[in-house]
Amino acid sequence: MIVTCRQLVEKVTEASEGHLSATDRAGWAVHLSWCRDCRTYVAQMAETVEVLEAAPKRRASDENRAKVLALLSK
Amino acid sequence: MASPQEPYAEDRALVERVLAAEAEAVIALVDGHDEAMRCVAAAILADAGEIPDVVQEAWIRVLGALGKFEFRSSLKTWILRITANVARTAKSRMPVAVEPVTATVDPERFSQIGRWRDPPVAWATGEAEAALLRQELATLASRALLDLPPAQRAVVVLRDVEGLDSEEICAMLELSEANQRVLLHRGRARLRASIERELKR
Repeated sequence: MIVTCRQLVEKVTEASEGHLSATDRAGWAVHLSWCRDCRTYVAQMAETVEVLEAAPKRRASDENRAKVLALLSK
Repeated sequence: MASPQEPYAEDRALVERVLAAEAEAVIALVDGHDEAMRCVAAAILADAGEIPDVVQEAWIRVLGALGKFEFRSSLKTWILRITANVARTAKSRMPVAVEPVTATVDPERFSQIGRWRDPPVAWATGEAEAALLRQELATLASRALLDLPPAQRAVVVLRDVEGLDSEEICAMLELSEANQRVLLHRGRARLRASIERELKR
């Protein structure tokens, strides 16, 4: 059951993945409707994911690039 | 040339160029996959020293089979699956580690009745600051990603950076859906906490 802030923060991923039970879904909505701090927390978890999706990808090191190129020329 | 309507059109075009031994395409192939391959290998191997050999062997198999790849999945999924399979033949292979469920937010930040005592402070405020902040957040998140335990890192990278779906990830890492979700939750929560910590400096 989601009643407290402490419980809600552990349900963020279940919620975003659509895996909350019916009881939790109700508790989630009610809690967020009055708790601004938890809304901030949920928003920051979502922002973290968005930022990861948009972040520039790490390219391979020169060494690893060279290794694969060498494999190909064999 | 592959038509844009064809599934995985970009992958097809890239593979065609790699098979024609275009150096630029090979580099694009390596850049696009090497890091994720390392993450997958790291999640399956107890000994990080084995990662380079596993990734190398995976590349040998990928390049050897590339001409016969039938695009029944994305190129990325196929390459990472090969990597996971190679890792599972290594000496130090282990089941992907799922830690027991513990609090992802410092319990000290809540009162005795479980309400925020030290609540999070919203990150973005005005429109003007938002773009700059996003850039900063991206840098912080990418850096924090390197400090995640291997299993959490692999799941977060596959899901949030590489955009694979949870089913593919579960199959690749031999995880139950619930365990995959636990790793995703813990990983994301840790990244959020590192960003928060860095912004407070």
